[in-house]
Amino acid sequence: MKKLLSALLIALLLPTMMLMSACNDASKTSDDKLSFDYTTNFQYYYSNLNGINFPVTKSEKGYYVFLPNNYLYYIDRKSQAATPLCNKPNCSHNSVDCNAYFNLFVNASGESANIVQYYDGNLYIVVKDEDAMGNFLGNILYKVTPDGSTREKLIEFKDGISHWLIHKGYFYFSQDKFADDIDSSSVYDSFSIKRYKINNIKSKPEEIFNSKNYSDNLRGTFQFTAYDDYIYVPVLPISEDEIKKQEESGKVTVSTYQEFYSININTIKINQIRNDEGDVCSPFFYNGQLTYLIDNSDTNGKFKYFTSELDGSNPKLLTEMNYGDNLFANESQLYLQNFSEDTDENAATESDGDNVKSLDASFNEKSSFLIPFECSVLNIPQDSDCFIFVQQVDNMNCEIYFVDKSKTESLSGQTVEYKTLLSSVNVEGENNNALSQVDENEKIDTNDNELKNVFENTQNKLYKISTSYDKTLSDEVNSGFSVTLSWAGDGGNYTGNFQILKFKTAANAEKFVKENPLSFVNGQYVAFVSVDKIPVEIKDMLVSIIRNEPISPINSTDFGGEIYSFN
Amino acid sequence: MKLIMFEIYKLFSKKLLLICLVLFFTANSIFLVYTQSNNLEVKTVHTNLSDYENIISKYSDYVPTEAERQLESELKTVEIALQFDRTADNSNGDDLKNLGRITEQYKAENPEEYKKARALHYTKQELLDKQTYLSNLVNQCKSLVDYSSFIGDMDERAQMQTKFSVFAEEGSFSYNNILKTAEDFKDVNNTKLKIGNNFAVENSTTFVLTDLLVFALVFLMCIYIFTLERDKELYGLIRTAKYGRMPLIISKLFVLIFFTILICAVYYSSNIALCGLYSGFGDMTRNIQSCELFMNCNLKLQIWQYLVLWGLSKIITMCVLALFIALIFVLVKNTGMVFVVTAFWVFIEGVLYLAIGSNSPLNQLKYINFLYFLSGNNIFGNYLNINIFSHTVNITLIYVIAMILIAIASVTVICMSFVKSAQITTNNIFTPMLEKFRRRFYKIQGGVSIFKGECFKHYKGSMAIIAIILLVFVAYGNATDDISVVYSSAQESAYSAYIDKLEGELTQEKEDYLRRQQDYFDGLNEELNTISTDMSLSAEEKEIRITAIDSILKTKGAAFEEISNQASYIKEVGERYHITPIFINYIVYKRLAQNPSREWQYFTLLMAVIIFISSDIFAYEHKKHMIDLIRCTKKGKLRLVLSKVMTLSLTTLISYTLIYLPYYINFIKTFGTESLNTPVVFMQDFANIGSTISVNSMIFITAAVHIAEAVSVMTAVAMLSQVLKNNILSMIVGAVIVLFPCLLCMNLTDIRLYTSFQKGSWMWLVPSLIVLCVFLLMICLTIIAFNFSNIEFKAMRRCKNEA
Repeated sequence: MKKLLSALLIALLLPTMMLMSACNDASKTSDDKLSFDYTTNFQYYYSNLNGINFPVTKSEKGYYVFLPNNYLYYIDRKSQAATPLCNKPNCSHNSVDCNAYFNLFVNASGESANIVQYYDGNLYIVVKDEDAMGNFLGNILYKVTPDGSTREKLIEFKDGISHWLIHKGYFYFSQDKFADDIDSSSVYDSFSIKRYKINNIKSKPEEIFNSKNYSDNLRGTFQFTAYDDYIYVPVLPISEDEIKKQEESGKVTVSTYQEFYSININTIKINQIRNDEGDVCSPFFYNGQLTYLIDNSDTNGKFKYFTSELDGSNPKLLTEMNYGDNLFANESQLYLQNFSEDTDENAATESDGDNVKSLDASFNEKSSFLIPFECSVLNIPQDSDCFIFVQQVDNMNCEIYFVDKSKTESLSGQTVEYKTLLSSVNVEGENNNALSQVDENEKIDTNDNELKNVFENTQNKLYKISTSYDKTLSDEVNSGFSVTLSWAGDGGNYTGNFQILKFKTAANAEKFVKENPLSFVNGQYVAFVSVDKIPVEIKDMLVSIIRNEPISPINSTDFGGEIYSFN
Repeated sequence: MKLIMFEIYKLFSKKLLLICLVLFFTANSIFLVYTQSNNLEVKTVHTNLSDYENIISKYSDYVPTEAERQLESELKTVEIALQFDRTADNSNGDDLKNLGRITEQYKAENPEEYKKARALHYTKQELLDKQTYLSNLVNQCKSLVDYSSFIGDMDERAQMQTKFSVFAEEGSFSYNNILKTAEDFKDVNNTKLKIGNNFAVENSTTFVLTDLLVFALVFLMCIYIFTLERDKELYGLIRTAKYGRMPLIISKLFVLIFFTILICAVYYSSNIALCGLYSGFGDMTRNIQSCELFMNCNLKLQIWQYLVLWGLSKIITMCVLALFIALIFVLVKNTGMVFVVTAFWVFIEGVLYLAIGSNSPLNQLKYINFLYFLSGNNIFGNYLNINIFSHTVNITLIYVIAMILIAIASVTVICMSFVKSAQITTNNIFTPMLEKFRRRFYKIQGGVSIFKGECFKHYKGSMAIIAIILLVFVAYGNATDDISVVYSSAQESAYSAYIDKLEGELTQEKEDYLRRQQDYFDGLNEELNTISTDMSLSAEEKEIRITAIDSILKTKGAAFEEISNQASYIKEVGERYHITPIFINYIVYKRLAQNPSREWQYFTLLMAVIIFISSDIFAYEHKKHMIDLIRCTKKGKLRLVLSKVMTLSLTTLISYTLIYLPYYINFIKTFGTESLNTPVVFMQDFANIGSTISVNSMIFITAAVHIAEAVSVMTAVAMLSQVLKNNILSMIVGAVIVLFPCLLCMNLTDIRLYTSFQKGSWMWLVPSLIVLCVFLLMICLTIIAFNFSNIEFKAMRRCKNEA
């Protein structure tokens, strides 16, 4: 009897225990989806699926960042200081012999794609291989020790590569095939994605995706990303001529320019990420799921965000956002950035930089802060601990800024506290202060309100504007920016680059104008023009810029034909 | 002592050694002066030495910052004076306006220098010279200014670096390297640096040819000391000395080392003297770090002390190298194999030194290398630590240890081998096998014609067939190599696609096509502007659309711009030469007509092969003691000479074809012959060619020059072979005269035939080269014929003597 009761008890308990275990496994599975090992997984939060990539990678002890001069810097997480990745105190870090220098590769479109990745204790960097004549010979993948002292050549790509990443034991790379016929509707013909096992580089690469096998309309790919068991590939779906036709007929949607595909790295199953309600754009990863925006202009100013399984299946509405509100996330931390136009409502809080909000799971604002750099966040959440920005100040100089994210949690609209880790690193190579680091107490005056207003006034008209200006024009210039304008004229289109300079004093400005006839002056402000003749409309516009007056937008085909000559 | 004297006598009884000593010394001196005079800065200083040294003595005691300021002021004065000169020489209205503006700017910004410039009365050349050496001094000041703070802050920098986690692991190479470097540079902290004349020390310590020549002399001495007696089988006679063979080998080694030291001392000190005489010695009591080249030196030495140390290191390295070569000579008892083993070893050292990167995990093989020890100022002038099993070891220490170990090991093994083993020439392991094979399958039947006999001696006896076989492999590689263009960017690919469409004559249809493309890109630019100012688009949409159009403009647009420029250029050329404008694929044809590396590598390889095959053509009979057997032919010795020369010419022609032809065949196979008949002037790089010769013609002319050079070198080496009666010696002399300069000029891309086509100087250079080659050919053939016809054979000499 006792035995029978025991048996019954076991028979009853066992399934229950199994059920509980299953539940635990289920919850463990959903937790696992959130766990992310940045030492073996691709650090997706430094890029977005629109092809933007930050040249930063994270290791256990710090961060590695490439400057535009191809020197690799290391930022120590504890001390929040930066140094070139060179262990020679007797090196001035301005030659190709420096350990920190890499002849970085650019992809087939001439852009620098994913540049550096930390993986399983080492850095991986792809460089260009050239012969003595400068002819391109291909790309080389190097494995570099964390201190930069040793680099081991792993793979040579004779045909070059376009984009790459390392994820869960594999090195993935794409290769574009160019169109042979110049009159074909696209520069690109097709592309393929292949992979090597990172521990078995000598083996032949495995092709996991070839656009020709899938569709004739898939032309090229942008920087792809990886998350969990999937590779995500943004693809240019149709030819440039087709794009033009759709634009002319007014039938342009986001999918005109980009489609997204997921590839399961275990089954190599390819899936287009679609949504019946509209075109998928700006995908990101939130709480272990794929999240994206639906571009549907019939939604009365509201845009829908959907989440789905990582392969794009089972989409569910997540939330609706106002026009211009862009969501992005790092794992479980949501951010919002608004890209809408000027409105009266926004004008009051308008300032130089990017306004970013951190949200809770209910999409309520937790904090909001301003990132005061030209290089905006652009849907790239970065590491959960910090933001790192590299800003090219002008042609010669570059700076690294470090923002501790924990200090943004209590802000409501204020500018973030940031640390300048490197100041005035000369990106041309002739570097006298490569190790110049900024004293913690040093404050940088970034507030020149008058110039800021002029700058914003110009910027808001969305001309091509840059905070860099030609510092060689005069030593008396305090600050400035440059504007690029194009206009149609006799014989074709013209482009002018105009320097808007603020001198230390009005007298200096006057002196400059006397010595440089191709300029206009108003008080301390000078607009320096680099050509002898410009349309009158442009002259009027430049004058209104330096007078800080409202500027009317100019349609480049509306020029009256009257020319202003500096003679 | 007697043994040593006999060894010295044996060595110096060889006239070739004495000739080589003098010849190499002369060649070294000439090349050194030539390279210096080719350097604009050095040449300018040489011409204005007293003025240069006066300026130095005026400012050398100034603090570098003050010296820099003063020198910059002087430089600015000269620049302003040059500006006056340019303005005075110019008559173009627009240019004058611009020049005037610049002059006014100078006047406003540098009033004092402007006044001084007005008062200067130098010629334009004098002003340019002043500008050159003042710039040199200003750059020196800049380096000195940076140096003081750089060294002063090194300790602080090192401390700061060790705080970074990647460098902070105690016991790691990085950590140790940082601390050790800072420690080692402490001595040079607060070193007083002065500007000065650095050309002598920099040029004399970086001249590479001397190392090659001294190495050749060392090799020659080893041949005379170790192999001649073995080849003549005289070791049986000198088998035992009073205390065994040890005194003999020690005498030989002593003589080798002694003369190596002597040669090194003479050659390297002559370099220093020549450089000093040409460009001035300057103040040699300055600290060595005053020279920019030595700023990474951590030794507290004056310049003259550094030179002494450098000289000593060269002598020690050469002596140890001599011992190592001697080791090969003693261990390998076949002379031919010695050459092969030495060449192989040099090749391996070269590959390790050049191919391994400085950051490679195997960089120890790069640095612990004779080539590294010999190159420039690597031992004492350039501070470096190497990771040896996670230990941070300085290169100087490695050098010292390596030299001691190699020297001890070499001497020990040489002595033991010489004493214990018989020094008898042996065949290599392949020769008996080859002989057996030959005897089985090849029997001489009846008489053999002279030509066939010469071919047999040349291809089999002198192993020219091996060179041909190796060249066949090279040819196969060149013929099957993938030379298709790898596009580094979509722009390059788009250019290629455009050219595929436009290649050939510029027809009306093509002009229309270009116009349509121009309209298309103009439209895209317009559209960009429209999008920028379109307020109805969201920022993201603008971004995406602009990006899409931008990507077309950056790729196809940029390529089209190149095509447009090319179209303008070919039209202008067409007008100039009254020919139809023709599009040519620049990317492709640049590879054919304008590849300095390939051109020089092929030429160097051809020279190496010719030297190898020609060196034995006349020496063979002497080597095999068959000279008395070839006494006379039916029509005299001339027929024999002609047969030899014909055989050699045949091999030269085969070698030339195997080296050059496969690439052209591969090129035609890959790219077709579309533009081979296009005048090469349609490539912008050849704008100054001064003629409408086609690509094909240019290649034929280049081929003709190369063939002429090959044949003349072939006869010259054949002549050497006849005079020296020894193939190894002929090879060495030939290599030094021809091959070493080829290797030295590998990086000098100006010394290329295609450069003369670019500059337009080919019209006189090509005929001159061909005439020179023909002249050399005639002289060498005459000498050969004369010498050969005057050979006195033993029987005849005996008769003469008896008479």
